[in-house]
Amino acid sequence: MNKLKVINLTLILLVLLVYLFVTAPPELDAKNTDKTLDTRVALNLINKLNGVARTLYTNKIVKSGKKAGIKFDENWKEEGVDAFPLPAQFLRLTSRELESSAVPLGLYLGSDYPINSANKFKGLQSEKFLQLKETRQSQYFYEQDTDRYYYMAEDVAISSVCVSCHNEHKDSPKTDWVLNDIMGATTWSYPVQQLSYPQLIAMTVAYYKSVESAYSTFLEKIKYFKGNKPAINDQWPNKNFTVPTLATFMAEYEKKAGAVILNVLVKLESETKRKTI
Amino acid sequence: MNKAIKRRRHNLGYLIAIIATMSLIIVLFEPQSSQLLTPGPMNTGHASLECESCHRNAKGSLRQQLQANVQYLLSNRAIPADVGYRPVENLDCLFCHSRKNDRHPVFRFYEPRFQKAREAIQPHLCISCHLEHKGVRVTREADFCSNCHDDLEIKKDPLQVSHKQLVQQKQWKSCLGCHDYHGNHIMKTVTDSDLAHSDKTITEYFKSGVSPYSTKKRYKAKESRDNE
Repeated sequence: MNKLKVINLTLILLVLLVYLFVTAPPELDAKNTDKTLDTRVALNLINKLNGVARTLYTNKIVKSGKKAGIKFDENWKEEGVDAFPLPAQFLRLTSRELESSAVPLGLYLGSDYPINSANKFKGLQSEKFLQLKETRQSQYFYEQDTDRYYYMAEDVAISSVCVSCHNEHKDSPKTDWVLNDIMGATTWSYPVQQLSYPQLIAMTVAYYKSVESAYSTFLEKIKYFKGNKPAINDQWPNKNFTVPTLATFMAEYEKKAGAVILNVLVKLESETKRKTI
Repeated sequence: MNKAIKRRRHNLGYLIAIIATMSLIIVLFEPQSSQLLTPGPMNTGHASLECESCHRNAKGSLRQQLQANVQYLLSNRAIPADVGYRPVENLDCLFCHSRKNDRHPVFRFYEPRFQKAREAIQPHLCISCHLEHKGVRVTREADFCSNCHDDLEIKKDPLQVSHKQLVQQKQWKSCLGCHDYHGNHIMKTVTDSDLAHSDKTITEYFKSGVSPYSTKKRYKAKESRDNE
């Protein structure tokens, strides 16, 4: 090999090394930096926020709405059905909105005695639900095929409307539910075991926006009512045939959810301090 | 032939090869050449889509992508980086097709209890039923309901032949005769088995035929991704 060829090859190699190793452009995020929070902790917080939405919708919209003559029906989506979604369906709407966000957070509902048999727990999820019922402790596990982490928390019969609706439904496989029974579970999924605080904030905001979108869909349904349309104003239904505006609903949600977030953050801070000491 | 002529011919050969390759690359990158690169005809309703509607650039510049992969090979990075284009994902489909009324949204199948269904038919991925570049609407046989509804029983069943009997007889192709999988067509679900659409009609619809459910839809798909 003559001298010129050696110089050429060395130069090419040098250029290649600079191209491949010298990080003139910033490095691509490897998604593994600044992970300081367990996903389990984050999902516990989101589940609590979900509990606030569920309770608010069940008690202040469904329970009070029924007294005012507003209808809630599993077939609420059908044309000609002048009704709103049931609590579980409101959470399904939230789940759908969540999925269209950029945050890879999944929300699923299920039971061992579901009205729709397709919602019955199977396999590992069924085992985890049995443990949850026995211990009343939330379950946290990993599934290989989806490469996701799951957090499963109990869904308790918080209101008489949960009990009566499930006991009276024609397809219900169990008709002796009582208040405070574990009727099923909410399962959350997230693709990594740890996340950063900015990711926690993104997750919380995504959930909040999903509740907002779900309630917007609720209000949108009124446009398609063929009969008497409930009024939309700053009143909650009770004696009046009325439903709250998006702003009224979300203001109430924010008030209740704020207390939950504060409570979780204070606990988190004290746990972090304890670990440091 | 002396060495000088031989070298000149070699150089000429290299030059021709470089010019031909460059010309081919330029021609293939022209928008009009997309037909030459596509692996097959676009699926029903997708004829007007550009390649970029689904095939999106991977994150970072080419140099960043290559550097990231070198670091991955040296075990200095947890995951490899996509080079050029990133894989087409559910979100790319949902950008146009996401709907509030979807009865079987893909994300629901990430739930652990659908593990067997995921193994069998991958319902958590849009492309498991709508594989692109096949020139049809649905790229799967119409018997997939068996993967989740094999224990279906309706207490007050309105059908002459009950759902339970249909399940026992493994009449899985009959489900879509009455039920619209994604639920976007404005229709009344029939409760008379005689009014159900035949296997043949559903198969035709899957290929590219007219919808037997209804021509009216609740939500229309977005037509482009320009406003992303």
